[in-house]
Amino acid sequence: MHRKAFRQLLRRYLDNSCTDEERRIIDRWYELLDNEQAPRSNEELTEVEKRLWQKIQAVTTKESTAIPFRNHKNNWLNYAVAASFIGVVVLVGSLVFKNKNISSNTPSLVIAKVNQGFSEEINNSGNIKKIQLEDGSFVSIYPGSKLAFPKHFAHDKREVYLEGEALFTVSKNPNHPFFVYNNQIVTRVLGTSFTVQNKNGKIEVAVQTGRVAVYENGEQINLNEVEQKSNGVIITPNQKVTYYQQERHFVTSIVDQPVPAPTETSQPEIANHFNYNETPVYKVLQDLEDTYKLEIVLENEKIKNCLFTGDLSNQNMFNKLESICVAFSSSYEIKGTRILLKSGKDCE
Amino acid sequence: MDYRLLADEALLKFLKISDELAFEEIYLRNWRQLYYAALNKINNKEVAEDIIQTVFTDLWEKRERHSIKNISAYLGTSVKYQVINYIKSAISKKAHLSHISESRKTEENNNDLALLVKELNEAIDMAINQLPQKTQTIFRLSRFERHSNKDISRIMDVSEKAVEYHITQSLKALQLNLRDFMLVDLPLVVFFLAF
Repeated sequence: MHRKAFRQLLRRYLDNSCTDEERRIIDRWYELLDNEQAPRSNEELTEVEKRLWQKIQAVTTKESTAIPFRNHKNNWLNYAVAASFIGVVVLVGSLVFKNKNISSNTPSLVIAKVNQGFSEEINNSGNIKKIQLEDGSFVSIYPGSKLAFPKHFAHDKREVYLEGEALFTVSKNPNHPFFVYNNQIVTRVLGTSFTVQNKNGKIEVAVQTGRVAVYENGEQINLNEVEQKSNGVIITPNQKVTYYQQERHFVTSIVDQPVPAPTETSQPEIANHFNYNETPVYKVLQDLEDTYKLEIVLENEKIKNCLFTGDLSNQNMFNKLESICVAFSSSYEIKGTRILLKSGKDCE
Repeated sequence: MDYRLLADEALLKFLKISDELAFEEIYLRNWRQLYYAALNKINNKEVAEDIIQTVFTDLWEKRERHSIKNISAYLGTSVKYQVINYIKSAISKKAHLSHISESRKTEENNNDLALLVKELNEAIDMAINQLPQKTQTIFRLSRFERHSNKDISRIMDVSEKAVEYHITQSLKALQLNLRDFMLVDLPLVVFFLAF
């Protein structure tokens, strides 16, 4: 009897269908289960750590090749260190710091990497310079900017170093994540295009397609005792993040000129499907959300069934929004990465 | 990029976009404590490893829709559920071995349940009340109010070693006094008696 009732009690606990009293008693009982464990040796723990990780990976990375364990050092790092002794230190004299006030005490990452044998592209011309990396990715380097990249990428990741501004169009390859290092921040890319620019103590990353993660480069910002860990944000198409270097602060917002974002499967249709005739406003807004991959929030839910008539094709996103606002005597506001449509008149 | 420098909050965000390196760092930061926690309850290395594996593969499967605030607390709770689930299955197996008919087994009996909750509650209270006063207080602070040994040593003005000693003594005494509700029954380890 006891056993059956007990199993039932445990099942209710796991289903989250037990009473507070039952939950409390199981919690108490659970605390009493401890057995004293002899401490395990470091060798044993290291072995368990590896074996368990391999088992977990076997499940989590079914279709792709296994990620090598951290202990395995990157080959190119060794080559780079070796190459730095041979010495490729030609360009140091001609480099210009764009943000002198900030990086005066931070050594340039690009120079450091060139010293380690990385290739370097400097754009001293007045035009955008487009280069292709060995993985097929494109980088458009803006005037006055420079990029350092390894002669050959590591087997598990692609890392490049940027000073100034550039547009990246990165080929998708989940097994070889792409990282852009830019002074104090690192941008992690998952098959996408985005721009990075660095000026006046601010670093800005804006996404056109795909998703990127932007975080502080802990090795570059002399973290103090209290803030030992660095932070980061994720941005999606038509969003941008501005990193204030002095304050170490991320602010996310919408890019100045949102463009239709392609989906995984199709290229965007900029064509004439924004022509509406007595269409409920929520459907119009849904089209905008789908096209620009941005979230639109209604302050007044009541206007969502109002009917809209008009042709919004061939207008940019903000003009489209203006036209909708005029029709319902409302206005819009950008709140972080979302657009808030302020209350307008009700239709009924 | 050295993920060891990233805060837990940042790792959680990157986990959301399927960043395997963030996932690996979460594993490296947490697995050991979770493994010990499971081992403490189950006392079987293979089972403890299986539990850790399940907890992390579950985390990976849920990565895109998770809303985790505190990763170590989240994983700790996952381990607890897995341990309880294991014990529940162990009871079912045992019940099967003792030829209890399937139909009777699945039948729920709320009177039995209420009785059990009452008995177990009383037994725990009684067992704890039998401990010396100081041991009792330390045990309650540690297990029911979740203070760290360090905190307890400060509150009670004793050394951390002494706190550990009191807790070990409590567990031994409690497990003895609660024999009816838990039985060391290898290989199922923690087991339930009396029916």
